[in-house]
Amino acid sequence: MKARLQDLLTEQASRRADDAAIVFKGRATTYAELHESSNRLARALQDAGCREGDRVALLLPKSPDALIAMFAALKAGCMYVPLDCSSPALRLARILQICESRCVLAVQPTGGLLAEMIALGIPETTRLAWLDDGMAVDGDVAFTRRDADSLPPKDLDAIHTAADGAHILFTSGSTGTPKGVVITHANVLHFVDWAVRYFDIRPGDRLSGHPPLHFDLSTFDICGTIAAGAEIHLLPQELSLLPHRLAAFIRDSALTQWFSVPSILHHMAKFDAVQPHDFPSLKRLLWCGEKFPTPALMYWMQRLPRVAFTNLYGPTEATIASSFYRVPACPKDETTEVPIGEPCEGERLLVLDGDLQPCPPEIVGELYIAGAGLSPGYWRDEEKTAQAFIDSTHGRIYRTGDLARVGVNGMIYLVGRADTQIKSRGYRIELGEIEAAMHAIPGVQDAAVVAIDAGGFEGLAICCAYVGADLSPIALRRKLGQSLPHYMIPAQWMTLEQMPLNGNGKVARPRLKQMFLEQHAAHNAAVAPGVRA
Amino acid sequence: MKAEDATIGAIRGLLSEKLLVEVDSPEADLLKAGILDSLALIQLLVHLEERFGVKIALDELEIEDLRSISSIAQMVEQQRAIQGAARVPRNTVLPVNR
Repeated sequence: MKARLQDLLTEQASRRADDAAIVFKGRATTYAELHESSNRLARALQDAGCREGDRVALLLPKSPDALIAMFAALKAGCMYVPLDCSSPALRLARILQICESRCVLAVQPTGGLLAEMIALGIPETTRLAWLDDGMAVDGDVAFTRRDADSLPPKDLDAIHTAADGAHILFTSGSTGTPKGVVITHANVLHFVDWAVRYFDIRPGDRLSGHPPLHFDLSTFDICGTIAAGAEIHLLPQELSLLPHRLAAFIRDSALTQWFSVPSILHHMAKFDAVQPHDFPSLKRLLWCGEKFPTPALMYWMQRLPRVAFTNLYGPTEATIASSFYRVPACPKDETTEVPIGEPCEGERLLVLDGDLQPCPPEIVGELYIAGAGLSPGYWRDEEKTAQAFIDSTHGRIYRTGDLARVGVNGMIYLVGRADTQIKSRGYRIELGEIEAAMHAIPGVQDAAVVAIDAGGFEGLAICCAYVGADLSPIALRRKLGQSLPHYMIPAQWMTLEQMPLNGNGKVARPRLKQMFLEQHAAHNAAVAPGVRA
Repeated sequence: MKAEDATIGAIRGLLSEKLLVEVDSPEADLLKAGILDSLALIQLLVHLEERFGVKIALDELEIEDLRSISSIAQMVEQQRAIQGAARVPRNTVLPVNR
């Protein structure tokens, strides 16, 4: 196994220099180009003062340049921090402060966002750099693309070891502050090494690059492609809105692997975007991130009988995926439960009771993960790290917060959550982060956020009940939009005189959920009967 | 072709009343900021069909039709012109904004 992620690229650049590594908007970037451009950019980063272990934030839309920047940061001995370019500036500035970035890489389309972040305050040590000609901003610009392109393309000395951090991925934090999950080179390499062998990914394969770069699923798309010497076909994020355009992308790019999230697959099924025996090149379809409703899975499997369907499961803290289940045949009926399966090589999944003892088969407990994928912890947060990563008689284990049971067939089935973290459209969201943002708004006397299963293809709907007579939902949404990414903003609202409380004086969440379900049903009955998506 | 102010105003009204989304200007990018996600899009299409009496087929839309309130208004007006001008046979593919 390689020691560093960038070693995967170095090897392919010497073996297949002129083969396409990345395809985006009809243009191919070869392995040689990816390697040499990232070498040049790595030098520019070092010249700008980036040293071993420094954090390089990427304010870059999904593009070949973003991938070049990832590898450049690694080659410079740094960790990269991919930012969500659709998040508000306040949240992104906060992330730069938490990770104490040494450099942020941007392009003109994200320049406005960068200017806003600078105005809100980013760490003084952060230098700015442009992957194009850039634009005027109020900050210390270290270099532009032209400067980087003038540097020599030859290989740099290896700096990292396998145990060093490769990137930090920020996820929703229950107390209102995003948490940075540190992922090492070894974490990713272990998964990719297994996945390339298990899925038999080869040169000539064409893999989708669908999730955004701040999702850890994209790490598999990118590093899996490069480890195998295959091609990654990056999808513009916006294409996810239009199911028929997504299908056309799979068809026209002749993809051999499509890795997506259930909400998108469900969206495509609902609008019947897949033809019988569609996508003749497709060999496998993978999903991860949330539960894939069985009726939608049946739709896909019926149309694509020659494709292998595999469910992957795993939180960011355990790197990409920890378990897998290849669905052996199209389920016979819509109530069939699809398990998350069995551990990937080098991983262990444990269903434990409150005393950390294994639960017998069919008994629900909390799911813990051990093994090669486990992150060293949260960035400079020993307290949260100690709460989630536990030294036990089973070794070091990560508490996922998922409830699960082991079936009599030995497969693991997810049951629900032990806390208020939810998955919505593939995004992992702590409802507590939304509540914290609500409570920070002047005029909000009380607020509670719950998620309901509205039965739609989007999974759970986020609902907010609040006390504060002078505030309208539209005004609150606008306020929240300044601190939260759009996918965290509640869709359903209810203004109350007083929050319903339970016997302990706490917010009665089951009661709130019921109230929102009733509101949702009344709304559906009133609007556009028969046109339900 | 530029959409009429009345159409733009009506779509802006639908977004704020039905989807609780306020947009700064008709040209503001709805996609970049993630304002229009797939759930919001489906709801918006239902409301547009009701409000303007046009049929909008999801499989005929292009991403750029959805970029801004202004481009949505153009798409709606074109659909209205096409669908109002002729009795359109069912299942006919209508050109959208191209």
